[in-house]
Order: sequence, then C-alpha cells, then structure tokens
Amino acid sequence: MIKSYYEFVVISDGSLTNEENKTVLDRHKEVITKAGGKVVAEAVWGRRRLGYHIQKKTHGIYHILYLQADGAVIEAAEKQMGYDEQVLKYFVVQVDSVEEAKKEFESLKADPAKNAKLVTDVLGA
Amino acid sequence: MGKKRRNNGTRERVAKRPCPLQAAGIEDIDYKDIELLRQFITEKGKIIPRRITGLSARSQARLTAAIKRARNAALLSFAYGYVYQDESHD
Repeated sequence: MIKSYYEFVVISDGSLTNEENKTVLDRHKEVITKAGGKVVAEAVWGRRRLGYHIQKKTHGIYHILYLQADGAVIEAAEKQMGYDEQVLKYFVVQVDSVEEAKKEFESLKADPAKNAKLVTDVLGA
Repeated sequence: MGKKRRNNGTRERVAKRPCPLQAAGIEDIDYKDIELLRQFITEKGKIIPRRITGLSARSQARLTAAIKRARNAALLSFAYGYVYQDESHD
C-alpha cells in the first residue's frame, strides 16, 4: 500500500482545558494508529480566534498532526472526528515532507508577521 | 459617448511590473500564513483580482487556493463584517 504524508489540522473546542484537549487528541491518535497510520510529528498552534463561529464557539485550539498514512486511515480518522463533538473542525492536506512542513510551520509560528509587510516592501509604495 | 481613438503606432509601452510574490522569492504559499494572505483580500474578505494585485497567473492561482484553504480552516472568514455585526473582527 502506498503511504503518503499528511498534515492533519484538528480544531478542538476553545473552551476545553489543555488536559481535556489532550485526551481528545489521544483518542484520535489511537484511532489513527489502530487503522495502521503513524503519527510522525506534532505541532501545537494553540488557542486562536476562529474566522467565523463554529457550533456557536468563537475560539478553537489548533493542533497539527503529521501523519504517514493511506486513504483508509484518513477516512477512518475523519469519520471519528465527525462523531466527536469536542472537535469543531478538521482539515487534511497532503505534504511532501513532514520535516520541511514542520520546520516551515515553526518558523511561521515564531514570527507570524514575517510576511505582513511583504507587498508594500516589494512594491516600494 | 465618444469613441476612443486608438493610436497603436505611437502608444507608449508600459513597463511590466514584476509579480510581487515571485520578486520576494515565495514559491509555495502556505494557507497558514494568514498575514501574507490578508494583504490580498479586501476588508470584507474578498479575494482581490489579479489585475489589481499584479501577481503572475501562477502566483494568483496558488494564492487563491491558499485563501480558500484558510477559510475552510476557519483561519480567515468568508465574509468579514456581515454575519456578526456586533463583534469586532480583526
């Protein structure tokens, strides 16, 4: 079976405590490993204000799981996420390399505004 | 309505401006890079067209995909200022 790398963004309810959030994530990680996938790395983005309300919630906790998995694993994980009321939203994107994706994300997280003035800088306006 | 007269012979050539993203060396646009994406949407959250952003076709296509992903991940709103008018959105 061909396995690819995925970036699995989990947005859980912002009103959860960190411990509660951890149990939610552990629950889903178990599903992933049981289905034959592998959690290669993780990254925490933390509590953020949502762009729009989801289930009447204004905040969510963003967490990124980097997986090595195939379609069946993703399908199983998404199914479980859909049942979970504490997960507001989830989001899967395929990536070429986990190390690169994680490195990029960490640098972005360290300096979120690094590209904020990019266009005005380039145009010199 | 007066007809516009075209004078192709002596029309000045407008210098082509480089694509802002390619000039900055950004090849892949990450949907998580919200500050970058914010520069290419209007106050209401609409994607600014290419004729105004001046991006290359490739960059604009990637940007559009990234903005749509960001919206789906609730990082950006679909329509700022419309749904929850009593709340301030940054």
